[in-house]
Amino acid sequence: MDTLVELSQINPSWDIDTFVQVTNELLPQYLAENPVNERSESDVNPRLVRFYTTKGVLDKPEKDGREARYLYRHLLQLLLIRRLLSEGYSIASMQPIMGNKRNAELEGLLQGGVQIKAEMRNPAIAFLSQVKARQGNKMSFPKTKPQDLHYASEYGQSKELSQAEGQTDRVTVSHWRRVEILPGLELNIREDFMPPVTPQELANLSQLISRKLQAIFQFRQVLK
Amino acid sequence: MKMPMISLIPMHGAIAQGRSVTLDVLIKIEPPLVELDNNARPPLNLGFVLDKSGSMHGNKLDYAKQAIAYAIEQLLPSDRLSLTLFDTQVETKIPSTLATDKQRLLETIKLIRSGSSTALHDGWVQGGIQVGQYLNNDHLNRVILLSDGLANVGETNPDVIASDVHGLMKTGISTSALGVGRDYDEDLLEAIARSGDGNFFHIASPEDLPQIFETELQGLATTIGRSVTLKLDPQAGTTVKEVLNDLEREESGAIKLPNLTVANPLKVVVRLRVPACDGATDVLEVALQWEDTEHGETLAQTATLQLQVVNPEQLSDFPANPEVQEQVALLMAARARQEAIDRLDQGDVTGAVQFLNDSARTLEAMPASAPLMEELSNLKDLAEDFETGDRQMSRKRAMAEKYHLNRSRSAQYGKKRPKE
Repeated sequence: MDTLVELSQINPSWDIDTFVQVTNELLPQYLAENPVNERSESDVNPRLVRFYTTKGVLDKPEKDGREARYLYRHLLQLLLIRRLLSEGYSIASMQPIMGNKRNAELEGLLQGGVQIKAEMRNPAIAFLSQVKARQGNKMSFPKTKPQDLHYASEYGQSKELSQAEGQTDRVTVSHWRRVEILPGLELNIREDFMPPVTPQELANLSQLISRKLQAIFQFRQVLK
Repeated sequence: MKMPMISLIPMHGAIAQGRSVTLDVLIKIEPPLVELDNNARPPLNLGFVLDKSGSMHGNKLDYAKQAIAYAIEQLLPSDRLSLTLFDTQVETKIPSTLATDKQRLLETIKLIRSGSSTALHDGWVQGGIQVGQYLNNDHLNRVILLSDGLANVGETNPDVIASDVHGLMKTGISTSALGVGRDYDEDLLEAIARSGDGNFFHIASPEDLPQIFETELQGLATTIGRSVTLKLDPQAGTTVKEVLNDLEREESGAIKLPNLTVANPLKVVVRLRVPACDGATDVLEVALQWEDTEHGETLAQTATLQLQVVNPEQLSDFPANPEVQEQVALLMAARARQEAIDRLDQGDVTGAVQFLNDSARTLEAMPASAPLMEELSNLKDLAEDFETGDRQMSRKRAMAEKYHLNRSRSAQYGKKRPKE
């Protein structure tokens, strides 16, 4: 089985049956481990592919004579559709995303695009979270009264925001969880961090962490 | 939906053969005539953000409370509202809720008391979050910010605030800014409204507040198109010298227009440089794009202006079009206000007054029409205000009037009962 990266380099042009087969081979890596929507676990088939095309979430295939050809971008879109379905998103909520994102953005979403996910869930709240985070860094955000926190936590979407509130003139921005990996090495996780949900995302995150660590450890060796 | 009608009306019906010419063209966008059923309009999702700093104490706060109470009474049970208060702190007085239990909401409003300083940006952010929690692109999502003071706690840089407001607007939440009294920062509030795709109101006396709120709500309730843009595509060597309306541009260069509301035509005037031509020529194509609030679809419509070309001797058969003249005059009166503000800022009060009086004289020389008569009396009144009144108040008034005129509304928008 080829990886996504390898597939991107061969500029594929599949007929619908091969396209479906390639997708089904890759799919398990990209699905949520605890799917909200069980049906999304099953394989895709040509009928579904055509259905997604008519719904506008999958680009129309290219034409080679009378035969439909599917490219790398179609693969990205189809993997993402199945993944978002498994997380409980509706087809309608995907419509504004699929056609507009560039390939790199679709890859980002598949590989662990936390930011884009937040944006898709609620772009206004995602935007204001950024504004608040920026203000929080400046330590200028005024006190928020306790009842605000209470209200905010009634709504799932605003949970991540309520962390940024509640600060006074001092710097207490948010809640962190501390995990000791080894004696002398700790990992801090902010409460609003979106954990990886697919094996692929977890693998990417681990790789990112090890790259960062490598950079630090090499630096220290040089110092010695 | 039924489509709006776009008319391209040149100042003169024809141009002379073989001569290049500067020509003003009125682009008139008339929303379709539809019977608006108040119960069938898209739900409103409003976030009131109210300054309760110490300076609001007394009349201003009382009227602001009345205005919000009035708004609550007008809402339908399917509408949402929230109320965020700010002074030094930010408090969500009413978290976003459906406007069902009005009695309880009105009780809450009654109990508001004034506090200390002005954390305007933070208040706005919190109001935005309240609206954002129920963001729905089929609804009309708006933050309505009311303040009487200078932002002096938290983020106070006007550019940053305006850019935040603009960012939120792009996600589907617009912001209107209402300034009360003589001490608020009109440059900031105007920038907020402009970047937030909302209204800017100057409220000289607190008793005008309920009226202004009615205008704001009615504007929202009669909205049939938003994210309205107009792209100008000059043809056959024609160039656009300027757009007389002072309006924001999109990155693509398209002009951003106010929302399409029932019975309110939008009027934009462009000044074209048309090269010499020999026969009837298409000189301008315009493309209007908007998002229909009923179905959330993006719609577009185009129109083309073709100019007749005649012998120079025949030109007198094509006198100036009074409707175009009227609109040019109104936009020039808006511009005179900007000039007056600039003069005032340089300490040149006499110059400021002169600009306004000159503009008034130009209006007087024109064929009379109801909008021109009204504008003439506004201008004279404003000139007098600049000359003898409170300068700080006059500047605010000029700023708001300019804002309305550039958006095809009377300078007194919101001060009179909106058309029923």
